[in-house]
Amino acid sequence: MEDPAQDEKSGNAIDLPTQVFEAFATALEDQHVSPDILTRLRKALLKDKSFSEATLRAAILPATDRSP
Amino acid sequence: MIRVESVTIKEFRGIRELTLEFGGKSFAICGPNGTGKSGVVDALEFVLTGTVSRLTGEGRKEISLLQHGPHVDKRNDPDRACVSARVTIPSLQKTVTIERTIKHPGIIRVTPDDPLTRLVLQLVAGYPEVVLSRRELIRYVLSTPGKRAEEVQALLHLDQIEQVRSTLLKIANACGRQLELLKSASQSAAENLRKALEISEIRKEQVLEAANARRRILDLSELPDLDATTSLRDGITTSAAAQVPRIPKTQAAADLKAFEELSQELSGYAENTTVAEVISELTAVASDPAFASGLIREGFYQAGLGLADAAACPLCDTEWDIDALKSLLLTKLQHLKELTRKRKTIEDKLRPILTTLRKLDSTIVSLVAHGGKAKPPLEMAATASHGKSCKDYIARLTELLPLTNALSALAAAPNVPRTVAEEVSTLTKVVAAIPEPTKQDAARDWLTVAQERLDFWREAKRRQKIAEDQASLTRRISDIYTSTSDGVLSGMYLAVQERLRDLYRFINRNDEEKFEARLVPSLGKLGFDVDFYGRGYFPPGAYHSEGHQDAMGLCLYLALMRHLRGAAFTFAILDDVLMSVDAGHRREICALLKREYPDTQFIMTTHDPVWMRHMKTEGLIAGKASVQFRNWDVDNGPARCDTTDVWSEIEGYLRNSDVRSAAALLRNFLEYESSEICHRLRAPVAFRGDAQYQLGELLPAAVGRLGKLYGMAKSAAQNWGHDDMFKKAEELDARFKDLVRLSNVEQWQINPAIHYNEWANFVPNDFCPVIAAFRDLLHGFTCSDCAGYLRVSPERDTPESLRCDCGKINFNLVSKKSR
Repeated sequence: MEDPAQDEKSGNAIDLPTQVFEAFATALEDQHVSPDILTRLRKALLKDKSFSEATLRAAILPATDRSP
Repeated sequence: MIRVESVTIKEFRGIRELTLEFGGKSFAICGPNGTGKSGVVDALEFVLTGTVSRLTGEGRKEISLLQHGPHVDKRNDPDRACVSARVTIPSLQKTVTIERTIKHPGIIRVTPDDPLTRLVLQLVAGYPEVVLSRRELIRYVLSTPGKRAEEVQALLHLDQIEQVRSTLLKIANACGRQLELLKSASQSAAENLRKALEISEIRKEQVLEAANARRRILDLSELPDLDATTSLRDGITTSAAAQVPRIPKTQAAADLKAFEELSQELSGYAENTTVAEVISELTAVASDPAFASGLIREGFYQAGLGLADAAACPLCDTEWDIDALKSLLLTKLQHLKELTRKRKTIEDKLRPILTTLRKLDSTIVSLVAHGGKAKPPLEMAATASHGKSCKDYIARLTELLPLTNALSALAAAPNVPRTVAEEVSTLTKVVAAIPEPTKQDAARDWLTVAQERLDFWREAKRRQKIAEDQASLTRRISDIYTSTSDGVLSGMYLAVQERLRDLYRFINRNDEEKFEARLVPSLGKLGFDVDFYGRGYFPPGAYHSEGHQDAMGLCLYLALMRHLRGAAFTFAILDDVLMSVDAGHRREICALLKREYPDTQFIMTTHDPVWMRHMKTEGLIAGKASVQFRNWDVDNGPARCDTTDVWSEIEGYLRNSDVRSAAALLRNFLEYESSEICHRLRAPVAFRGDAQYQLGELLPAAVGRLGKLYGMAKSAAQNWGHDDMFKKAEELDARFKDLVRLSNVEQWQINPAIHYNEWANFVPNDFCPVIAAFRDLLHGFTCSDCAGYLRVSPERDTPESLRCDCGKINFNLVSKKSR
């Protein structure tokens, strides 16, 4: 049997946060933002669904670059 | 996603025990205020989501599900308060029973259980917006843009999107602030370097020229270029003696000279006309209390403008309309225009003094360091304290407020305390006593100090560069996110707005067929403006009636849900949402729900029986798909106008010899049922504007009407030669006449002694036959198979048939001639 979650969403249901995050990732790629940042943001927003300041800061400014 | 077949509620809110059968179809719950309708809504929401929104949110801090979810008599026994429901999951082609108790609201018991079913139920629980009450409608329609955005965001699960937006913005702002600090540190390091190099400007050529001049003295090779790693001291050997701290005579002499000059410069300001002017202006404004308070307000407004970069106050998180707030602050600043001009004039005149003070402060730091390198170290406490005073003067003159503090700083700044002069004098002597360095020593000292300050400046620049990159990157990412999410959401809102428009136009097609609506998202807000008869766009509450606003709220909800859930929008509870909508528009709403949302099961509550009837007549709900609550009490919960329940309750009264209560209940029940029968049979009743029809007006009309309809059925059957139908109608008519005779209804108009008003005076034994007669009489209006009341079809225009819902009874009422 198919995944019911997919099945439920197949009826044109929209997951807006995912839609926005996907569009954001595409836009970052188009704007040539570093692939490392892109990978980390994708993981935080789309895979881990973690939206805290610490997570996003670490995704954009990894520890080695963080403190000027 | 799901359909609810039935719900069983036990010891929950105001309900002791109640089962309702929905059959997976739309269903109406009707009853006066306080009869338990909302208890059913809460129970459905609870069993599906584990929460009760009525018990949460603003102003509900004292209320909790655990404490106030159970029936008041079971408030200490939350395990007894439970709700179960049979739900069908079309995608799994399964029907399961789910159950939750108040004690463990997060735990759902599923029978039969399996992971796929749980996954679907988990998805359902993630959408608590299955319940729409008027409270939400008002929030969607009438709230401020910021609040509306919050409501709609919650409905659309946009909170994650907003959270990411505000976090990215916060990170970008923090990086921006960090950059400003590091820029300032970098400027300070640059000034120190320039002073040490004794050059006018930090340019590569000037630095190389100054450094190579010293290097030539030391027979060191000239530096061809200056890059990030170039050392001005390159080639100087570091001996142990050289590592012992000592006062670099040339640099110390230069610093002492600078101290002298800067102090004199400050003293000179005392006689400077510009400073005299600024003192005079400060003195003048200091005597005006309005100036000081205006200055505070101006600073506050300016700070507010700088901080108003998010949807909420950073101090207390109160939502604000950011554009309106900025506009307000700018207007207020405009009112302080003259004050701002005066402040700027004073600041311009103070600027050179502040520059001198900053240089003096930096020089004093160097002097204190030189004193520390003396053998033995010199006492420089007063000088260090003077440095602190300089910092204090800088702060006071920058702040301006209190004005008296600024004035006193201005008066004190030119003075060099005697003790400072003494310490500096001692240092001057010590420096003078240092053997004049050879040209080589002076050059070595110069290169050492220059290199130290160059390293410091390079580090400051490096940190500034990193901060610049981070500020630029985080701002860019934040901007990309904002524009991307705005783009996606604008597209979504555009689609929702078009659907909302179409839904509203359908409901109001008679007078607002050109209606338009605009949803305008912007930075954490959602504007909602609607067209008012082509006169422009206004907030919904500006000109439209409450009824229209309710309809807009419903349309917005339906449009959002359809967009969000698509075909998975299979279940919704509309909790008394259309109380301000008139009868005509309610009919249209019924038609709308039926036409546009045929696959959605709506559970609707209302206190208005007419509205419930509209739902039936418009076909939104089937004949039996409703329940009427007639009253409620704390011991028993809601009492249904349900035949089984009512007859048992009446018998219960009689067993207790309470004829009065039995009679009252029988009368109320017959009134309710007669009204329904009159409606279904299209019985003529003398019109009452207040719609408060009494049993004496309704039941005789219903009786007379059914008798007449049987007559029409017989006549038509004869006319068409349908003997079997004639016979069947005659049988039913005869049986019905017997029932009528036994009830004495036909005598009510003639003989008041047998009128229902006299029932209360009966003794139980006399009243039992009355009850039986009316129970049988009501059966006479029903089909023996489907138990539904007979009805005339169509509902308007010439009656064509008398029929029941199952089709067993279907008499033609039209003769050949008429047809």
